[in-house]
Amino acid sequence: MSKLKLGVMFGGVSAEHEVSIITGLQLIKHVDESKYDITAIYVDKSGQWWTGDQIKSLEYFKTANVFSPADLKPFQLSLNPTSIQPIDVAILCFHGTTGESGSVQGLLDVAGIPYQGPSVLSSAISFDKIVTRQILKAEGISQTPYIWFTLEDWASNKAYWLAELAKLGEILFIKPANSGSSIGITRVEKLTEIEAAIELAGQFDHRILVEKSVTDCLEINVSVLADGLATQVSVAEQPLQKDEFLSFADKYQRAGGKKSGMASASRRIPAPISSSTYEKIKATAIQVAKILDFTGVIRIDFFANPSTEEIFLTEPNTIPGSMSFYLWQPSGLPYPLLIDRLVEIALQNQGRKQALVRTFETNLLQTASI
Amino acid sequence: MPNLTTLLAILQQSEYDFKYFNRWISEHSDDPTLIEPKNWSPKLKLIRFLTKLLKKLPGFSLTNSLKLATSLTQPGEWLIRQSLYLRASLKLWRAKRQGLVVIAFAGSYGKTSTKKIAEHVLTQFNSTLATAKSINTPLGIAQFVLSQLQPTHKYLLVELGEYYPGDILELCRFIKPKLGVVCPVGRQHLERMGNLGTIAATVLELADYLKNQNSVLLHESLKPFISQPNLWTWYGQSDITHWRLANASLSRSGTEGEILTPSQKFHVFSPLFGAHQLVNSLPSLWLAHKLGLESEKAIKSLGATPYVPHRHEPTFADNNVLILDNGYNSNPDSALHSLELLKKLPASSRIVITPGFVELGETSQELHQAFGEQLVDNCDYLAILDSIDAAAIKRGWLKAGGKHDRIFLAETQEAAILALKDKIIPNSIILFENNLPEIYK
Repeated sequence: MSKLKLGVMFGGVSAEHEVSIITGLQLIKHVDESKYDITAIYVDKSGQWWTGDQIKSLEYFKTANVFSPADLKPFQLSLNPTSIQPIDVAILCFHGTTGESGSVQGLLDVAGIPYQGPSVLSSAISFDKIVTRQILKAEGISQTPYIWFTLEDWASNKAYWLAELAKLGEILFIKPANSGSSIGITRVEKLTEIEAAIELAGQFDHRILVEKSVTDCLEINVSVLADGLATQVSVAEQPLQKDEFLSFADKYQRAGGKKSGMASASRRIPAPISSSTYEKIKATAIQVAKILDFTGVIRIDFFANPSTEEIFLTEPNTIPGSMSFYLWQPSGLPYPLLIDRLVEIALQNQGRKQALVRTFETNLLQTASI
Repeated sequence: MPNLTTLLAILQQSEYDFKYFNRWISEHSDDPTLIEPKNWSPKLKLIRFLTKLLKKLPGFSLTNSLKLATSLTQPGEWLIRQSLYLRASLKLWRAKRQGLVVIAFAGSYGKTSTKKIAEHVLTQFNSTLATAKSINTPLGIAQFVLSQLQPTHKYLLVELGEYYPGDILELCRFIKPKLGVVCPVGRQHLERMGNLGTIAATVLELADYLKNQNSVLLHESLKPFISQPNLWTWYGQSDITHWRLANASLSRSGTEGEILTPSQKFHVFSPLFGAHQLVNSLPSLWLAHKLGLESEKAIKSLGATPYVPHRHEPTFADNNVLILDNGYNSNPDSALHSLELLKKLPASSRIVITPGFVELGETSQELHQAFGEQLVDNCDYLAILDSIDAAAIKRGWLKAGGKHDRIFLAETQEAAILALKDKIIPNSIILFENNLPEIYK
């Protein structure tokens, strides 16, 4: 039996271009090659699509011109879904603009290439922090208080918005509506810092979201694996600041002037929360996956107050860094099996789309006149 | 011969007790290692000054000058101490008239953790001050009260230390607590105290002082040492206790369990590691009850308990390596909790780095050998740090079937880590059990 042609797509015109390369190459490294023929597909920073065996290795990217890479073949798909395509299934490893926002998803839909998801609509909604919050608010999902405005609103009446922001809270997060990771986001503690923060966020989007910071909370993330019918939730992680808890490990990292090989952890798995708090987060993650029609592997970020067991949803990430494999491994799903699941989900998504009624028997053209 | 700075450091570590100072000198007369004092207190500076003066006199050796200088400071120190006690007592008396509640914690071990947890819980309700770190001597407490106690404080939590019988009673007469908690009794300071019965009697001086049984909560380990135990209120894990932990389960998230109070049952979670830390949390719930505070809020606040420094304090290293620092005052009884953690926490490799314990008197060799034996079932690799009873731990390890190639001897914690570098694999646990100041080496 011939192997499935698996296209792994990464890069893209995005501030998270480099992170996406790492996610893509990590995935390629863990694919079970006995099951798939891998095609690495790289979108450079100017938006050109490339392929080639060299780009399966990180070494290539250490010296590559990411605006116009050398020695690669252009990658092409036909928009005609009945054509023979170079890949059978795509796994999208893009982070940020175009690759995560629904645009590439739309392209693949047109070309008839299955991908893990989420769909165009789900990706587009989730990529906009303001729209996501509005939908989840309407569905009663607990979130931190927020307001939003456009750069035009801000410019036309700063005094009004400053008063609104002061009412919202003392510590605020200023975010562009469309941006992944922490790029363009500022935590402000003084009203005097707000203007610069809005200016920074405005470089990424003209729609600005401002969230109130909640006190005494831990940052807790889970990943969901959804196929449109059932949703699995991973163990929870607590991301750690690199300088957090360092003292003891640091002491031994350079024990006697030599490295002992120990560095501080960037995350704590499982997170230090009670089983009942975890169950609340799990139930909310499943609900959110349904509301936003997620498929594929998603990371959903929360704040949790360990003293009161209150939880607040922060945001979903529809194509998370490293595909959240580090959360699935301790949940009993090693990375190669996670990739198998993503391929299965992509094929299921395609099957569901094909099963939908798209054509009607109609005599409109016979009777129409223009 | 060690220089003056080193001798002053050892004098400070021996708590100015020449019995321990002399023993160290006799074993380290040729040791050139420079040891710095933990802090240059005014007393230590005065002793240094006087020692330098005396040493210029004919016939005065460095050691003799130091001993005489220490004796010369005593009358002045006595006067300063009395003045500090008086001022601190007055300040406490005034604060109590304005509603301050003083709560005392005695016991052989676990009292710093118990106090820190109580501080966290009571702070959720009212302004709370707890003696810092392990300050537990009359002078330390007096200085702390004078410098830190504010009129806004509603609760003052004080840790009472004991080296000899009568110490706790003296502290109680000074701070006059309203409520007291007696934490577990164990073989801590056995050499000074003589036997477990004397240790128990000493920590129970807190209960004797308070007299009213309703004002004291006792750990179950004290039951054999008290007459008419049914008159008292107990905490722990056994059926005799009124404030009880049941069904504890441990994971890398923390510890969960059921807490049974005399009238209710609650599910509880703490990020601290080990059932013993949830047991250490029970007194804070009893205190909340005694102070008329909301039980449910107190229980839930345990979910955000901060880690207690050097008491199974975790560091999260890359590759899911968990480092537990239990580097403070471990003894053969409290070390059982560490063994429990090693047994129950999921790990691919369990590594223990320890110098053993101190002040165990005549039973020291026997207890260290037993510790070595216990470690065989609970750890994969053992590094024993340079200490008086290192050989006894090794003997126990080998006697119980521990392998030669899984035991290492090292001078320092840093050297141990380097020696064990290849054994630290993803998901390992590294436990630092105890850390000794130079006086015990």
